[in-house]
Order: sequence, then C-alpha cells, then structure tokens
Amino acid sequence: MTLIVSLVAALSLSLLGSLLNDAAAAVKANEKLAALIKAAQTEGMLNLVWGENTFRGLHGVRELVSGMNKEFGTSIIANWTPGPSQPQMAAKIAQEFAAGVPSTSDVYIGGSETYIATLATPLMVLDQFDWAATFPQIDPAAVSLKGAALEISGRFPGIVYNTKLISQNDVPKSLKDLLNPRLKGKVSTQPYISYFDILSGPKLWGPERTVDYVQKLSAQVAGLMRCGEYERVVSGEFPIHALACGEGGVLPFMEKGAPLRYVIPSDAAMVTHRYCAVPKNGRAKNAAKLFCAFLMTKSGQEFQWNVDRQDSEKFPGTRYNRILKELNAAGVKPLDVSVDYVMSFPVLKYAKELENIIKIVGN
Amino acid sequence: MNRLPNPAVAFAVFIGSIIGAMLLVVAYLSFYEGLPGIPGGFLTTAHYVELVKDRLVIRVTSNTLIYTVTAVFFSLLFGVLIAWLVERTEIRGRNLIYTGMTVGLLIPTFFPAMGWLFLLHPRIGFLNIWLKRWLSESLALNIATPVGMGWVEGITLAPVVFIMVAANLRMADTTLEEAAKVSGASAWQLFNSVILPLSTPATLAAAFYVATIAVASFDVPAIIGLSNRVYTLGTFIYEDLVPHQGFPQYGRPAAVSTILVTLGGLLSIWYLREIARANRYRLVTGKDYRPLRYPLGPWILSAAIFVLFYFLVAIAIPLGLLVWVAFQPYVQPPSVEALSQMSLSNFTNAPWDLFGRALRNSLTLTVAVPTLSILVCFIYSWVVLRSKTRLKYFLDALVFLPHAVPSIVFGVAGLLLSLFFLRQIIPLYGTLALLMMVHIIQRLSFGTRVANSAIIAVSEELEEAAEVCGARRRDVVARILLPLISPTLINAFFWIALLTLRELTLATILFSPSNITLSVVVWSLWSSGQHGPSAAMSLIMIALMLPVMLLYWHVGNRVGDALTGTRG
Repeated sequence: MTLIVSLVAALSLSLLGSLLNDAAAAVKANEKLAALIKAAQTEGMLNLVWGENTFRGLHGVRELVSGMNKEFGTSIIANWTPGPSQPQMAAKIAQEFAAGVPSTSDVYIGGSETYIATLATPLMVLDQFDWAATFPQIDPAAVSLKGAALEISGRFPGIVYNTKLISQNDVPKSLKDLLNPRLKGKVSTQPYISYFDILSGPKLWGPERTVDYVQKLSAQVAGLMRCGEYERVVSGEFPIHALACGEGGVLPFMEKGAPLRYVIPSDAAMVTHRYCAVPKNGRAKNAAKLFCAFLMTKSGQEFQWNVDRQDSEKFPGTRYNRILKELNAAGVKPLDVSVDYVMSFPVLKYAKELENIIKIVGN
Repeated sequence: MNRLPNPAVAFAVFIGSIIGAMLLVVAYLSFYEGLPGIPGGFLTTAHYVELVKDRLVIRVTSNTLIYTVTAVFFSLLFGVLIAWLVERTEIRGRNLIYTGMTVGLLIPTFFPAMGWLFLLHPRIGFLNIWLKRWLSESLALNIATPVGMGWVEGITLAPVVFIMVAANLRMADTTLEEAAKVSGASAWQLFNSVILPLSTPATLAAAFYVATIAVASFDVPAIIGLSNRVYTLGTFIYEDLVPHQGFPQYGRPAAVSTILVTLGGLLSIWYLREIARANRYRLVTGKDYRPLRYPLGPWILSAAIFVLFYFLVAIAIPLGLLVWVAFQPYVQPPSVEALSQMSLSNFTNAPWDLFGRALRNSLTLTVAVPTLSILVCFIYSWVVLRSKTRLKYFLDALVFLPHAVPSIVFGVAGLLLSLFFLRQIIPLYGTLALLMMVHIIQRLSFGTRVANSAIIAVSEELEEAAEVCGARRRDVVARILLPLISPTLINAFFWIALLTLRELTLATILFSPSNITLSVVVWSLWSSGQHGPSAAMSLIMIALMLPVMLLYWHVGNRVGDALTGTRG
C-alpha cells in the first residue's frame, strides 16, 4: 500500500513537474513571442517578392498578411512585388548579402530543397531561429538547417494525364507504366527533368537505375514542357506529363472542368517541400518570422490550401496529411525529401547528366 | 582638322567606356565558375571547353543558323516591302498601316508563338487537322522546326525592320530615280539599280539588328521548339539561367555571349568598311530633296493583299488569340463549349494596384529611355561620322557589341557592376535609374545604327555650305542636320519607346519592388500559368497605348512631312 502511495505520489509529482515545465516553456514562449511581435510591429512593413504562382500573388499576400495581423494582433503592412524565378531570387539575395546590401525581399519562399541549400552554403545567408521555442505549434521535424528554413507545405510529384485522350487501360500508375509502348509519343517531361535527380539519390533508385530509366523514357517522350503549363495537357499537345510539380498546379484546372487527373507514382513516391526562410540582411526580420510562423498555423495551412492547393503533410488534419496516411495504408512510403538529404549526394551533377540525356535523345 | 568640339568626343569616349566595362564583366563571367560575390568561385576555361565537347552544340548551332536566317528573311520581306509601299507609293491608309505595324510590337511574343502552335502543331494544330482530314496526311505542316520558328520570329520582327527602313525611304532624294526613268529603265531595273542600293545602309542595319535579336531569342523557341526538343541558342542556355536546382550558372551563357560579341566585332569591321564608303549612300544632298511616290496602277490589289496577308498572320492571329485567352478560364481551342465559358473574370480579378505601380514605372522609362538614348546616339554617331578622331571606328564597333550579348547576361553585368563596384560611388542598385541606364546602353547599338544611316544620307556639303556662309557649328547642327534627320530620329524614338515598354529580361534581372514594370507583371502572370489574366493585362496595355500610338503617327507624320516637304 505504502509502495502504491509512493508510486502515485512520485507520478503525480513528475506529472506536475512536467506540467510546470510545459507551463514555464509556454510562458517563456509567450514572452519570446510577445517580444517578437513588439519588434515586428516596430518594423511596420514587410517587403515581399516572389512569383505570381506562390500564394496567388497580390490577392493572396493581402489575405495572408491580414490573417497574420489577426493571429498576432499586429498591424503590419505588406508590399508585395512579383519577382524573378526562385533560383534567380536566391542568387539575388545571396549576392546582396555578400555585398552588404539589404535583401530585396524580407522573406524567401523556395520551392526546392536545393534553393535553400544554396542559401546555406558556402555562405549562411539565412537567419537561424529557434522556431519551436517561440511557436510551440511548429513541428520540429518541419525545421531545417538549425532553424534556417521552415517547411511550410509539401508536394507529391506525380503524373498528370488527359482523361479524354488516355484510355482507362493505359492510365499510368507508376513511372514504369510510362514505358508502355502504347504511350510512345504521348508523354512529356520537364526540360530540367525535375525530381528524377532526387530519384538518383541513395534512398531511392540510385544513379544507375535512374539513368537507365530516363534513357528509356526519353525514347517515349514527345516533347518538353515546364511546370504550370498544364494547358498543354488539356489541349492534347501532350496527353501525359511526368513528373509534374505536385497536384497543386493541376487541381485548379480540374476544378474548372478540364479533363485532367493526377496520379502519385507508386514506384517513385516522394514528398518535397516549399520553404519559408528569413534572409539575415532583411529589413524586417521579426515581421518576416511572424509571417513564416503564421503559415504553420491552422489558418495558414488552410490559406495555403485555398490559394495554392498545397499544405503540409506534417500538419495534422491537412489534405496532404490525409494523402500521406492513405499512401502509407496502401503500403507506399514516400521519401520525405529534406535539405539535408539533397546535400548528402551530388544532386546538381546528377541533374545535369539527366538533362543532357533528355536533350540529346531525339536530337 | 577636327570639326567637332572636344566635349562631344569626350562624351562618346565616356559612353564607350561604360559599354567596355559591361562587356569586360561579361567576358569575366565567361571564365568564372560559381556565383560572383559568393565564396568558392574560381577562374576557369571550362565553359568554353564544355561548348566544344557538348554533343548538342553542332545541332544547336545549325538550328540557330537556320532559324535566324529564316527570321531575317521574313522580317526583311515584310518590313522592307511594306515600308516601301507606305513611303514610296500612293497606297492608301498609310496611318492605318503604321498603326497596325506598331500594334504588333505591343503583343507579347509568346502569344503569336502559341497562336501558331495551335494552328500548325504536328498533332493538334487546327490547320493540320483540317489539312489531314480534307486533303492528305502528307500535307500537314510542322511549325516545330527551325524554319517554322524562324517564320514566327520573322513576322514578329518585321515591324522593327519597317520602322528602321521607313524613315530612310521617306528622306530619299529622287534625282537618281528620275534620271533612271528618263533613261528608260524598267521598274525592276529602277528597283534593283537605284532604290535597293540607296536603302542598303538602313536595310543592312535592320538585318543586323533583327539577326542579333533572333540569335538569342527565347520566347518563340521556348514555346514551339523546346516542347518538341528543337533547341536553339536561347533554349540551350535556358537551363543554366533558370535551373531547377541550385543557383543560376552564368558561365556558359557568358561564354556564348563572348563568342557572339567576337562575331559581332567582325561584323562591325565589315559594316564600318561600308560606312567608310558612305558617299555612295547619300540620299539628301544640297542639290535636290524631293521624295517621289509611285502610282501602283494595276499592282494596287496585289499590294493591298500583301499588306492584308501580313496583318492577318502577324497581327490578327495573335491579337485574336490574346482576346480569346483573356476571356477564357484557361487556354483551350475554340469550340461551342469554350464559347459558353467566356467571362470577364480575368479582368475583374486583375491585380490593379500592382498594375498602377508598374504603369508609372513603365511610362517613366518609356519617355526617359528613348529621349536620352536618341540624344546620346545622335552625339555618338556625329562623332563617328563627322569627326576626325582616330577613335571613331573603335567607338562605332564598340557600341554595336552590346547587341550581341543576350539581355539576361547584359542585365547580370549591370547588376554586378552596380552591386559590387559602383555602390560606394553611386547607389544605383535596385533603382529605376539603373534600369534606365542599362536600357540606354543596350539601345545604343540600335540607335546609333539608325542615326548613322540618317547622317550618312545627308551630304556634308549642306553643312559645309552653311559654315562657309558663316553659320556656327551648333546652328548648322540645330538648323540643318537635325531637321533633316528628325523623321528618322522620331521613328527611332518611337521604336525605342515601344521596345522599352515591352522589354522583359533586363526588367526582371535588375528589378526591385520600386522599379517593377508592366512587362514584368504580364510575364509574371504568364509564367505562373495564369495565361488568362496575363492576356487581359496585355490587352489593357495595348488599349492604353493605342491612342498614344495614333496620336504619335498623326503628329509624327505631320512633323516629318513638314520638315521634309513630302506632304502631298
């Protein structure tokens, strides 16, 4: 009896201690958040630069910043401008940092792990911040490079096809299916053969298998198109496109009635991410951190789904979180592509080799 | 004897130095591996070695040559002939033709490219489907070839040729033509022996100019060629500049640019030799100045059909596509179902605030860049053609070279200069002034070609006669030379203004939130897959510019006619 009482007492004390610790951490987080909010409020304005296809441009930014102000009780004004492509923007920010000039954008949104990697080495251009200490809702698994970047959403690269032009029997469910002779001359891929470089990595196909596959695929390919040009699949110019940059770009067409469907290939399932990062040379670093953190709130995730049809697979209750669970249930385990992963093998070299294959075959 | 005041030579040397500095940065980039300013970069010859080793280079070179030659051929065919019809014949509707030619310049090139793809794509082209269905499978045409792409590029560049050649033809002295007619020359002999040789400088300048645009052009090869794996130079270097992984790689594009600059330099030597024999091309002398318009007689119908055909293929098709896409939820071929989906949503949901901000910047550039460019070009050309300085040939060759550098590489050179070298002296980085400066430098090759051909056409004897009569040099320039070449300069002003308005690459590379332009807004929408809103913005841009263009042609023609005495 005494033993039981002692155990219960010990457990209670431990629980209480844990609760007190949590409470202390929460208080500390609240203090840090309050200080951050105050500093952000003093900064007053966010200069934001990225492409129209991110957060639906100006309309999206307005909605997003209004949501952020509501969430944190701030009155920050956003000045958004459409900018160059993401790699060009990364180069611009890095060069501005090297020259000691303020960053053109207070926030960098990067749709590829390698863009973040280039901003982290050889120069660490991004502000490293302890996100979880200030925003307890942020899953530490969504934080990269010691706080330099936040995974704000995921995307499952896949195959998009025109339902009017591809018969039910020929619908591809895997990359292997794209080598079906009946699909010869109907497939398009990207000029930079995106995501196949990720497949070349050690945790997926490896370089030999990927090169072999891309050579075979190249013989099937009718032409090349870039991500976002899905109208070319709608028009029938290319009845199939692979690998597409996620379902997010295709869903708006499907919602308007376009005859498109999206498939995550069973033999090349992966989830890559879009990142939010704060350049060290930004003029409004505190407001920028609030902006990134807001994207990792429930409202921020809903917003991302509403405007870009993508959200984080790591955030409970999101659509991509459900897709991930469905894939897992079907025995498909998508590789969680991270910045560390792409930095662990020569991804740029592999990408160049694969690009050359797709260019040269047929020329 | 140096007939020019030294400040003009000094000014030309100063401008030449800026051009030289930018070209040096391009050459440096071609030997540099890595991103300038970021640790880890090093000097190497690897980019040139890669070009030699790359298995695609031969195919890309041959594709680019065929594409460029085709583009130059069609742009000259339509541009020169329509300019001749407008300026030297009694064809009706001159102002309408002028306006039509310039409307074409305001349509972003990706729309004609998409329009032709819809028409002549080997699989889905409407025309090909009809040809296959009603005539024969073998009759199908394929736009996705270097010749097909060259045709599209050529018809979009014809207005450039038109503007460059038209003013020159307007100024032509008809003494030789009248002499040839009196001597019994046939129409062909007249054209071949008199009219064609006299317009050679302007035509050559136009041919060079469009050739250098076509060589590195991106829009048409990207939309038509890339999708069918037909690479030209523009698409070949595309992945380096906008990579899917890592930073942009400027080394190989800069190496290609340096090779093009070298070729451009060789072309300049040839061009300068032609200039040295400039007397052959003098159209306006002190003896007579009375341009003549020919009656077309029975050819009037053929001429009208020719002009209408051009308007159909170069204006109506892309403009029609632009209108169609602007009212559609997504790009789709015309059908009854698609008609029922037309709406104004692309206009009502347009980013109007951003549009307003970009419009202010674009208008500032559209006025300032041509004004300053023309001023600089006039002084520069004057130094080259009228001074005795030994530097003049070097200066003229130098000013032509920036045109051989793809805009994106030139933009990067401007960015690096302003960011790493000039920042402590003049804080230009990220300003509208920087964009303006790089625009002006890049337009100098065009502006000086036009100014050169105009000044060459004016005999020095007019100025000499005035000086003999006691006129001061500045009066000679202001009251004789400038009025005589003003139609050409006005045309060049207008073309530079249009080019500035639609310029995209420099505006993207050198952009900052404070200097964003309309073309960046339109491209940004287009490249993010929002083709409908992009088309809507383009239509609004055209609608805004149309009254300005009509006013320009109305006023410009009156001024030009009054100055040259050709009203009639």
